[in-house]
Amino acid sequence: MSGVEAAELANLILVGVLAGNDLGHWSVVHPALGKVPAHESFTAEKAIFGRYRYFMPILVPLAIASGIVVAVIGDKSDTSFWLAVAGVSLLGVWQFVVLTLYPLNERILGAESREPTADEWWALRRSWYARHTVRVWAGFAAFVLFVLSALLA
Amino acid sequence: MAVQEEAWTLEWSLAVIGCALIFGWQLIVFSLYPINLKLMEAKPEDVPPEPEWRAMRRLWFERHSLRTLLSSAALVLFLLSALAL
Repeated sequence: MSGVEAAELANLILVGVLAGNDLGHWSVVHPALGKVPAHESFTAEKAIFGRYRYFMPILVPLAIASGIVVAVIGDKSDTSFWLAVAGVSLLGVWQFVVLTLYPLNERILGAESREPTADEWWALRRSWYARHTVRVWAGFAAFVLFVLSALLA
Repeated sequence: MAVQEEAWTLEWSLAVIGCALIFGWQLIVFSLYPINLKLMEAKPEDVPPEPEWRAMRRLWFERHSLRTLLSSAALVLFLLSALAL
């Protein structure tokens, strides 16, 4: 296996894990936590967010870096190159959405002293979930583009 | 993928092993049904005592960890097969 092929494989695994994790949570976990009472929903989401704080800061930079490596190295076709560039751009969109979510995440994770009321919580969660939906589809589309880039290289 | 590849090539073997791993994943799902059923059919007043719940969850999580490893390995094998590396 050449260096370029190894980079493509690592990129597809990293972006695949990111997209699969996002899709699973978007389609199963978060909707389920929208159907339980507000206190339980808040407690569970807070625990999940706390856990992701350790996981995502490692996975996402590696996924973006692997995408950049795939785009810039190797003697690939124009189509493959531009697909990889588009994939990296979508991961950039994913990261931008994360930045817009920071204030909401901080409110949820920092709510030690006062838990939000049910109405506050559902409004906060609706806003969070709408933006989360954008990043889920950005991550999934990036994965598809990287797969196409690897296949057409 | 396994059917489309030429038999006994490396790509074919990787795809076949990937399928076997997904089959193992499905077997674990079957083994989890009794626990899942117990959870799904429980009424709000049937919340198990904490030690019982923790033990049930530990068992579920061990099997879930195994199926996660299987599906992750299958993903890697399918990618290797598709990319013909």
